[in-house]
Amino acid sequence: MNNDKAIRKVLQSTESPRLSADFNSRLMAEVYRAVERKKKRAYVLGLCLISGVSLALIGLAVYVFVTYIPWNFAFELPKFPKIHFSSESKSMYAFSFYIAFLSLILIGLDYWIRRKWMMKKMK
Amino acid sequence: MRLIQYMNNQDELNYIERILAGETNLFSYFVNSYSNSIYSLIVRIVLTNEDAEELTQDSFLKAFKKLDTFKGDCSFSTWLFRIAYNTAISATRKRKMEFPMVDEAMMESVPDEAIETFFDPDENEIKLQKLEEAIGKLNVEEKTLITLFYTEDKSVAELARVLDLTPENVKVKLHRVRKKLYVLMTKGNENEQR
Repeated sequence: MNNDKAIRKVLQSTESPRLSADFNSRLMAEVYRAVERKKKRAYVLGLCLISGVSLALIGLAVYVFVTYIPWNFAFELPKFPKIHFSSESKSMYAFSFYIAFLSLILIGLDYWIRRKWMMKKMK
Repeated sequence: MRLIQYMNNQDELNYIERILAGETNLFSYFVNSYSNSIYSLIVRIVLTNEDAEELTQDSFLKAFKKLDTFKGDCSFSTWLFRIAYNTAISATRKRKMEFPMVDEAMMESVPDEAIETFFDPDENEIKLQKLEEAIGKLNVEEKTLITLFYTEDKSVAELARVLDLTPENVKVKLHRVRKKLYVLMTKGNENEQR
C-alpha cells in the first residue's frame, strides 16, 4: 500500500491553489483580536462580579442596620447592641484568629511558591 | 526519523506552553508550518478556494482558542488536521454535496492482487489523468484519508485520530478506497449511481 506511486504522484502534482500572500498576517491579526476580546471579557466579568458582591454587601449592611439597630429619629445616636465577651467566647475568638492567621500564611506561601515556579518555567 | 519527530513534538509542546503563558506571537510558528497543508486538505473537501481559505482561518482560530485542551498525546499537526477536517465536514453538510456511488458487489469482485500492481507504475499519462478524475469522485472521508496518507505521510494510527476511527477501520477503508479507484478507472462512468 505504501508504494502506490501513481496515487502519490497524482495527489502531489495536482495544482493546489496557494493561500493569499497576506493570509498568515491576517490570521495572526485575528488571533491578536481574539486575545484582546478574551481579556476584555475577563475584565467585564470581573467587574460584574465585584459589583455584584459589593451590592450584596451594601444590601446586607442596610438590612442589618434596618432590622437590628433601633433608630431614634429625635436626632440621637443609634443604640448599637452590646456585645458581651465571656471567657468561653474569648477562647473561641482566639482560636478563630489563629486559624485565619494560619490560612493567611498558607495562602501567602502558595502564592510565593507558584510565582517562583512560574519564574523558573519562564527561564 | 522517530527521534526527529519526537524532538519536533517536544519543541511544539514547549511553544504551546509559552503561547498559553501569554506569548501569543509564537502561534505564528504553527501558522507558517501548517497553513498550506491544512489549506490543501480543506480545498480538496470544499472545492472552492475562497471557502477553503475562510475555513482554514476558522480552523486555526478554533485551534488557538482550544489550545489549552491539547494534551500532547498526538502530534500537534494531527490535532490540527482533526479540527480542520471537522470544520470542513460541517461546511459540506450545510451544502449537501453529492458523490457518485460504486456498486459494492463490483468492488468486492476486484481481486487484491490486481490492486497491488495497478497503482505502482506512474508513467502512463492517460492513466494518471483517469486517476485524477477518479480521486475527484471520492467522498469527503475517502479524499481526506488518501490525502493525509499519501501526501502528509500520516500513519494509520494518526489517521484514526483525525477521522475518529479505529486503526483497523482505517486500514479497511484505505483498502476499499484503492478498490473504488480501480473500479472508477476501469469501469468508467457506466456503473455510477446517484
